[in-house]
Amino acid sequence: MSTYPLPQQEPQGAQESVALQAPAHEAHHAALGVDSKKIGMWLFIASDCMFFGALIGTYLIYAGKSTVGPYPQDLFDIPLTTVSTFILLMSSLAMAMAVHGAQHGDMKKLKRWLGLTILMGLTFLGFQVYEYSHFIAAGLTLSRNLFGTTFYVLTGTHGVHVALGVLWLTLLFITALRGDTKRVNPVNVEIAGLYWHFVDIVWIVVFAVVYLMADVAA
Amino acid sequence: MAEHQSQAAAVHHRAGQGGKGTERTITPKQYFTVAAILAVVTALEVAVVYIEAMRPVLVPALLFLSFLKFLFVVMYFMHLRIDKAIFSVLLVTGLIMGLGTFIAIGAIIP
Amino acid sequence: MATITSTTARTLLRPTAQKGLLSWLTTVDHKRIGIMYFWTALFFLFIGGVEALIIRLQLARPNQTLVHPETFNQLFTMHGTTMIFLAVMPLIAAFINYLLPLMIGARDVAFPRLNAFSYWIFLLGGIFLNIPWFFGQAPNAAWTGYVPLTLNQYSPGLNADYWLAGLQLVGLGTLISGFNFIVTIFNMRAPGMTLLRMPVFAWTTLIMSFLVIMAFPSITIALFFIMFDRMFGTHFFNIAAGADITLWQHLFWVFGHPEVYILILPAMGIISEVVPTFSRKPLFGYSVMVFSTVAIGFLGFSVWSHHMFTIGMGAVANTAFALTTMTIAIPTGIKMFNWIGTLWGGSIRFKTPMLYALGFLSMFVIGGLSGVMHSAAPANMQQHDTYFVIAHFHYVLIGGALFGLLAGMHYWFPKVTGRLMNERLGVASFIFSLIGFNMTFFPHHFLGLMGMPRRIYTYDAAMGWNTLNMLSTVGAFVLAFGFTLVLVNLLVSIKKGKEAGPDPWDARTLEWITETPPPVYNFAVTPLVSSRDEFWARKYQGAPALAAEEPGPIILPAPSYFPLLMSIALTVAAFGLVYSNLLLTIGLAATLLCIIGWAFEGVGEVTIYPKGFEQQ
Repeated sequence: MSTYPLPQQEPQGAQESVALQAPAHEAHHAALGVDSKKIGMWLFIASDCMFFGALIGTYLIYAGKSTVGPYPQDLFDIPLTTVSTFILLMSSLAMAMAVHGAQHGDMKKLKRWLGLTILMGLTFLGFQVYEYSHFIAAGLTLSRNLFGTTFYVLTGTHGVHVALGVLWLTLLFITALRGDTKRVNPVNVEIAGLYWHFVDIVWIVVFAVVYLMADVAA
Repeated sequence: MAEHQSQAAAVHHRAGQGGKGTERTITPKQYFTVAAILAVVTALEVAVVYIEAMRPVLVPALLFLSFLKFLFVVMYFMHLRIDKAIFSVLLVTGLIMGLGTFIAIGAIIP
Repeated sequence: MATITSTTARTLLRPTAQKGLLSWLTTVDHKRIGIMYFWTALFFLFIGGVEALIIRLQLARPNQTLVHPETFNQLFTMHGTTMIFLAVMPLIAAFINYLLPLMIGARDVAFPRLNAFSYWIFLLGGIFLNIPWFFGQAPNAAWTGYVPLTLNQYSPGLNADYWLAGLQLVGLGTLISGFNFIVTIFNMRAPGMTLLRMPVFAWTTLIMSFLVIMAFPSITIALFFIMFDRMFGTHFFNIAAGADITLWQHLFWVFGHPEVYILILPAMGIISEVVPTFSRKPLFGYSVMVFSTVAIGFLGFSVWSHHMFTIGMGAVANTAFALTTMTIAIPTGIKMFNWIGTLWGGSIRFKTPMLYALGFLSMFVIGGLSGVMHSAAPANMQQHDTYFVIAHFHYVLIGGALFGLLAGMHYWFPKVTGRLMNERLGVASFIFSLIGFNMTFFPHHFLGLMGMPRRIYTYDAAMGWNTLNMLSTVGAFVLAFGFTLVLVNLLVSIKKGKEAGPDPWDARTLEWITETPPPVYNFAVTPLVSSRDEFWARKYQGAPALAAEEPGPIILPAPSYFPLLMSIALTVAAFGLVYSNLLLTIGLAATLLCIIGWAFEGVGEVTIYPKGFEQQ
C-alpha cells in the first residue's frame, strides 16, 4: 500500500548515536563521516578558485596592454623567483609532514615540521618584499601602468593569503607548544594544511602563467 | 597520548574507507618523493623557458608541467588520492567554474 | 539548567544570559538568528518600499520636480541595492536559518558562531549602506555600479565609497552563510535523512548556497578593483591606460546573474512545500524537481553576458549566450509543470499560504516568459535598459521571490509562534497585493516597448507615457497597502492569533514533528527518518515514529560575544575605507584580535535537560 519505501536496514550512524548524544555543532556525528570543518575548508577552496580565477583572468586579459613601461620582461628575475617558488613548494612538504605527525599523535614531529613550514612561509614573504622593493625602485608602482596594477594586486592578494596562513600556523604552533592537544588535533592541523597547500597551488599557476610565460604574453 | 593514538587510528580508518587503492595512508617516503618530483618539474619548467628550441611549444609545455605539479599537490599533499570523493568533486567544480568563466571572458574581451 | 564547560570559562569570558537583550546579542541559536533576520529584513523592505513609492510619485506625471534629480539617482540606486541585498536575500536567510535544521532533523547549523556573525555583519552592513542618506550622499550609480560612473571622475563624493565598502560587508556575511548552509546540509542530517529524502526547500537551499560561494568571489574582486582605482590610482578601469571597462560588467554579471537564481531558488523551494501540503498530495516528480534545481544552478553560471548584448561582443558570443539563456527555460518550465501536476487532482484548500503560492505560479510564468523574450539578442537590443526590463525583473522578484516568501511566511508562522495568522486579513492582503502589483508593473511592459528608458528622472508630456505612468503609481500604493495589511496581520496575530496546535495545515515534513513553537534543542530525541514525507508517513501510512538516540541530556553550542564584536570591528574597518587609513588599521587589528579570541574560545558547550529528563 505504502508509496513510501521504508528502509531495509538501520541507516548508517544510527547505532553509534544511540550510545552517545551528538552535540549540535561541528563535532556532531557527521552524516558524511568527515569533520564539518574539513568540508568547510574544501568549499572555501572551491570558492577561492573563482576568487583567484578573477585575479589571474584579469592579469591575462590586460597582459601586453600597458601603454608605458616597465614591462614584465624588463623586470622579472626568473632565477630569483624560482628559488622562492622552490621554498614555497618545500614548505608544502613540511606541512604535509606536520599533518602526518598530528595524525599519528606525534606532537614532537608536528611541532618540528610546523615550525619549518612557518619559517619557509616567512622566507617566501621576504622574497616577495625584496622583489617588490626592487620593482618599485625600477619604476613599477601600483599606478604606473596596467602591468603594475594587475601584477601587484594578484601577487599581493596571494601574499596576503600566505601571510594569513603563516599567522594561522603560528597560532597552531603556539597552541602546540602549550601542550593543548585538544585544540591541536588531527582535523585542525589538517584543514590548516589544506589551506596552505591550496595557496601553494595558486602560486604554481602564478609562477607558470605570470612569470614563465611573460615573454609570450607580451 | 592514548586518546591521541585512537584519534589517529580513527582518521586512518576513515581515510581507508574512502580510498580506492590498496594503501590506506600516504607515507613520509611518498611525501618526500612527491617533493622531489615537484622540484624536478619546476626545474624543467624553467629550463623550457631558456631553451630556444622549445619556444613554439612554450605555452602548452608550461601548462602541462604546472598541471602536473598541481595534480601531485592535490593528490598527495592534500590527500585527495585516499580521501572522500566529495572533496575531489568540490575542487573540480570550483576549477571548472573558474576556468570556464574566465576563459570565456578572456575570449570575449578583445 | 545549563552548565558551561570549565576550560572555556577559564580562558575567556563567555556569556551565560538566557533571557534579555544580552542573550539575543550573543545567541548562536539558529531559530533566534532566523527571527532577527526576519524583522531586520522587513525593516529594510519597508525602507526600500518607501524609496520605491517616492520614485513612483516623481514619475506619476510628466515634468515633475518632486525630488531633486540627484536625489532621484540615489533613490533608485538604494532601492535596488536595498531590495536585493538587504530585504529579499536576508528574508530568504531568515527562512533557511529557522527551518533548515528543523527540516533535516538537526539541532543547529554546522557553525553556529559563524551563523551569528553572518547576521550581525549583514545588519551593520545594511545600516552602513544607509548612513550616507543623512548627509545626502547616498550611493547614486545604480545597483549595477557600472564604471566609469563609480570612478573618481564621476563620483567624487562619498556615495560610491559607502556603496563599495557596504557591499563588501554584506557580501562577506552572505558568503559565510553559503558555506555554513552547505556543510549543514551535507553533514547535519538526521540518520535516515538521505539527500533524496530531503524536502525540496533544503535542496534549493543547497544549490542556492553553491551559487553564493561561486558567485560572490567575483563581485568581491570587482568591488576591490574599483576601490583600488579610487584609492590608489590603479588602472583596472582606466581606458587611457589600456584598460577595458567591460571587464567590470563581466565581473559584475558573473555574480549578478547567479544572484537572480539565488533570489528565486529558495522561493521555489517554499512553493514546493506549500503546494503539496495544500493539495494533500506528494510533490509531483520530486527527483526531476531536484535535478532541475541542479541544472538551473549550473546553467545559471553560463548566461551572464545576456545582460551585455548591446556592448558589441560580436555575433558568436551573442548567439552563445542567447542559446544558454533559452536553455535555462527548460528546467524552469519542468518545475512549473511539476507544480501544476501536484495541483492536478488534489483536494486543494485555498488558505492564505496557498493563495500566495498560486500567485507565485501565475506571476512567475509572466516574468519567466518576458525573460525568454530578452534572451533573443536582436529583440534585446530594443528592450535593453527600458521599462520592459523593469517589468520583467519585478515580475520575477515580487511576483516570484516575494510572493513565494509571503506564502512561506503565512505557512510557517504557526510553527514559529504557535498561533495562526488571521485568514481574512491574509486573503485581503493577497488580493490587494496581487491587484496592486499587476497595476504597477504590467504597464511597464508597454512603457518599455514605447521607449521609456530605465532610471529616467522625468519625461515630456508629449511622449504618450502619461496615463500608464499614473496607473503604475496608483498601483504602487495599492501594493503598498496590501503589504501593510501583511504587516498588520503579523503584528496582530503574534499577540491575538488563534492557537494553532501542533499541526494546523496537516503538513508533511519533519519540522512539524517536534513541539510548536520548537524548543531550543529542536528535537528532544533526534528522529530516525525512513521516508521522504516523514511526518505524513507517520500520520497516515503507519510508519513507526523511530528515534535515532535514547532520550538524555542534549549538548548545544554555547553563546559567544565574538560574532558581534568581530562584525563591529569589520564595520570600523569599512568606515576606515571611506574616511581614514588609521581607522582601517584599527578595524583590521581589532578583527585580527577577534579571530584569535574566537579560535581560542572554541565552540563551547551548554548541556540542556529536556522535559521529562530533568537533571538528577
